[in-house]
Amino acid sequence: MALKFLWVIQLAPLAAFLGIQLLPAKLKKIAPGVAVPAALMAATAASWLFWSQIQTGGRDLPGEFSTPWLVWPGRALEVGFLMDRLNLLMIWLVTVISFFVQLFSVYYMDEDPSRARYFGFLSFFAFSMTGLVLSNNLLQTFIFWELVGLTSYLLIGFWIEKPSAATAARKAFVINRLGDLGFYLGVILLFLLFGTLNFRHLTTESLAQALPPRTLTMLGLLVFTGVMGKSAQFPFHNWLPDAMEGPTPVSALIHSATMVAAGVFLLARAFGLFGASAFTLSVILTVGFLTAFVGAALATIQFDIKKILAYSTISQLGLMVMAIGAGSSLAGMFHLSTHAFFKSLLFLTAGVFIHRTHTNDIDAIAEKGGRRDVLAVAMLVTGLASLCGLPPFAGFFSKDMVLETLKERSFLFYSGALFVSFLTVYYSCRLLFVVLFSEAGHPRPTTHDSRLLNFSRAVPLVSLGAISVVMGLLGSPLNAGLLEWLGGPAEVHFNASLFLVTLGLLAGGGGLAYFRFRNPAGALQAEKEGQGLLLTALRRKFFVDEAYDFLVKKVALAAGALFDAFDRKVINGWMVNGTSYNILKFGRLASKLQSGLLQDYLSLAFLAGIVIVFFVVL
Amino acid sequence: MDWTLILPETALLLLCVLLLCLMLIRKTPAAGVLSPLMGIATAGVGLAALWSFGFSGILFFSTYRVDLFSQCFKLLVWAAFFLTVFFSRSLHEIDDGRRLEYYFFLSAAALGMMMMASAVDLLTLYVSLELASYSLYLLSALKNRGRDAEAGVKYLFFGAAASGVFLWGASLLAGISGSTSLAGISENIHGLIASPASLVGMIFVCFSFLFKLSAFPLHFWAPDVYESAATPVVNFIATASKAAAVAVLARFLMFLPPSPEFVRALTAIAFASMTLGNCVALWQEDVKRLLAYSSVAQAGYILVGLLAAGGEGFSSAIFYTAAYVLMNAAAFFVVSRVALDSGHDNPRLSHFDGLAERSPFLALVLLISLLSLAGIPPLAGFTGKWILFSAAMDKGHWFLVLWAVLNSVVSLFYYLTLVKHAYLEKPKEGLPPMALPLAARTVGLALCLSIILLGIFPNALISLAQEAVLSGGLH
Repeated sequence: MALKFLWVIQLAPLAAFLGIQLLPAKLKKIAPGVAVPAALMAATAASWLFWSQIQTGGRDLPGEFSTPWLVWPGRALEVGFLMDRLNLLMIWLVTVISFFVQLFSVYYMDEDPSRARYFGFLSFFAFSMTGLVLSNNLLQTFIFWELVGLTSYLLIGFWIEKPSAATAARKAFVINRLGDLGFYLGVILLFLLFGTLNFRHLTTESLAQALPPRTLTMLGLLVFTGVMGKSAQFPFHNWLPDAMEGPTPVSALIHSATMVAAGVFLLARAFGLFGASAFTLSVILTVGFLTAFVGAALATIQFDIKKILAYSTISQLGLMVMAIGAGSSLAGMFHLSTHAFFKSLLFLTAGVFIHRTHTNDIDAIAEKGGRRDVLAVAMLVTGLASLCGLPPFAGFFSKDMVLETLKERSFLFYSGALFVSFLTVYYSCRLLFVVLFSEAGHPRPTTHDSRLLNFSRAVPLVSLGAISVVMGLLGSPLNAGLLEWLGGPAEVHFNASLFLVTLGLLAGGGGLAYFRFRNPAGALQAEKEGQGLLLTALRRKFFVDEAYDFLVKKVALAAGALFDAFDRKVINGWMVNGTSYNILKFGRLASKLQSGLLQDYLSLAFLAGIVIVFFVVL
Repeated sequence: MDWTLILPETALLLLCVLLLCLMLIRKTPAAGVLSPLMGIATAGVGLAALWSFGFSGILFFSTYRVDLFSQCFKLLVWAAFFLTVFFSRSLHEIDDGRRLEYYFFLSAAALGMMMMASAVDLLTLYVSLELASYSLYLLSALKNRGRDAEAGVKYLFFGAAASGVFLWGASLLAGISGSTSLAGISENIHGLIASPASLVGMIFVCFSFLFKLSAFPLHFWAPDVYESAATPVVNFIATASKAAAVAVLARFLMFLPPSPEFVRALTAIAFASMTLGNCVALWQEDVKRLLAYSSVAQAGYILVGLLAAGGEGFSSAIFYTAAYVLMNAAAFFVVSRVALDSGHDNPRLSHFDGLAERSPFLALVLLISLLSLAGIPPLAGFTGKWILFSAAMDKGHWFLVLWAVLNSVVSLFYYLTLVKHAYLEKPKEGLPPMALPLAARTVGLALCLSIILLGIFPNALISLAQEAVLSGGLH
């Protein structure tokens, strides 16, 4: 029964996508009317399923529907759904956020002429993401993984007339390919060596029995490169800030809440594979820390509101990866869930500002009266409070859990994470203070705010805000329902020392930000013109783009030229053209047989006949 | 005697007599009258062939055998005959005064080919072979403009030599076994199957069949005849005559299973046919000549199935022959329309320039027929090759199959060259769009659809072919 709902969740967005594609040109403007109800249907089905399973204590779990796809003697590739506690939470999160973002898009994309394309892609994204989450094996996950990559590419470059959008889309696509190459290799090798890709069989014990430790390390690292690409881990993180070229709701849905979190989800999903090797886990931990640090550090000097949020996303993803690298996929998934809600809330709030003031620059947003939008500012405060980890907002509980996990694992990474948290508080408060304390003009009167649009703007904001507040409480000392659902402890103990540390971080980060941004105009000016070593390094994004540039232009192109020459001379020149040249030459020669003279024909035929007779008889 | 058994042959014979009587009146009816009449008469023959389908029996002192095998081939020959008559509607290469003769020889050749499908005695085989051949010699020389008769004469001499070889081989077989019927020979020859005389006899008989199939080294007539004969005649030679040749060859090999050395010789012939046909076709500018070499190569593919023998081999050869008739007819359909449009009997590659702009439908028919000939899925040619090659693989002829597949790649080059001319080249200045009558459109569409459908749903025909093979054998 429960599995039938999965079909609705999986296919409703696909039906919406197809429906939108089939709309005649005149009716394209009703595309949101197709996409939003489909998203609502999927979200309702997922919520009902989630709720009913919570009620019954997960009676139907894990449920699997599976059918063989390609069969060889001894092994088979399958396709199917696997529903367990982990992906039920994820599917609920994905469909709900997807619905709210699509609803918000009705308001945000109101003036855009190619809305149909936009909503079609969003529906297709929802379909792919659902497929990724529900899949019961790594290969199917990989296929949908690529499909979400494709929709991400299409939506980053949605405004095709902007060259910067096209470049950003290409960058995202290429960097993801780099990571996915490793992932795909890992999947193939795992299938060849282990014989199955079903998640239920990928447990640490069975893997350790079947494969030697070195192989396991290699497989885990290969699959982890895919995670690094998708979840923007250092050094593959640099596509995510550029991806902000896409429409803001897209950033909220794909580039903060769901798709980029797919990497973290995969880490938790196939934890058996990664957990089988201690070395893999420490690599994951290190990469996660680097990412968290780089993201937080770079977020401190951005002026573009979406870039601030993008770097913050990178840094938070780093924290989740750290938690899983430290061995607790529970903490990682908990932080993923809370982050998905408060970050999509922040992005949607940013969308409201951008839609109102037509600029991304925080200074300009403040100047044009961004703070006069009471709802948006309230949501900004909610989201940022959660991001900083202010109790009792959701981020507080999940981040504390991550910190606690790290503290048990190693003091070094724990203190690094504390520093990252400090930076997080700092850049959050910087953003908030610039918006609040700047000299504010009066916003441009909006002309098109109808009742429907106001509804589609306010409902997602308020709902996501409410969830961001409540969700964390489900992992708090009051009620650890969510953690228990995921297989964690039934009770969480109040950790007083960590609480004090958190308060200290808040006070320190907030105080520093207040000290610097009491008067935002001057401070921003100083940041823009400063010449310090640290400022330069931050402004040049730690030279990662330059390093890529060097690799591509010097190393890759030189190798390319070498291969090109080999391809032209040997493969094409000698093997391909040589073969065809010789075939043609033979044809020319053989056509000489056709002399047009009957006596030649007959003598040749007789000669051949005699040869055959002698061959057969003798 | 049950006349239903030989209904199609009787109908064709009556048609021949009727045409002969009309010739005696010495007043040729106008083309506008004759063509529809011939169409109706041909349809009548088709009905007769359908009527007798499914009957079986042995006639004329066991020299003539009607079974599912023969009736399948008779239907195939009829289909080719019908299409040829249809293409002859716009026949401008042959004088109006000779139309009656033209149709007479065409019907006589069809009669001969149908008889070939049923002949199970060396003498019936010879008579039907000659009836078909002589009609074709005359048909190919009927154009009588300049040097066009030359190819007809070459065809005649080559055919006469082939007939001589056939008779030589037949006399050897009959002499050894003391019987002229295939069943009798196969019964009596058991102990002597490896003797040089019987081997030579079998090879010689097969040689004359290979001549009809235009396989190497007996293909030399094909390019010259294809080039100079009227297009509908070429279509007839390329489709009906091939089908009949496959029928006799399959029947002969069913009754007298070849020795391993002989199979190796056939392998060599198939190998050389494919290679030579495809390689030389690369150089052809004249489209009819190009199709001639393509038919040499296709003969090689069919031989792959025949030499694999057994139920799979023969039935796949039958299937491929049916597909081959359809796709070749479709190709010649387009060639004849282009020839008509350009007023040039021998359209060259350049005459196809911009066909897609001038007549998208014709270009599509050409595309489908050529892709099918090259063996691109999901068309009939692909399915046919697939089962041919898998039958041969089962018998261990993997090298030949590999070579055949490589040859398909080579063949793709010249087939696609023609497609390139039709689709990518610009038409010459000032050429108007080509008009296509409704009837021609219908036939073209039917050919295309049958090629596609046969490619996607081949099972009905494959199982029919397997039953035909079971019915056509010794037991």
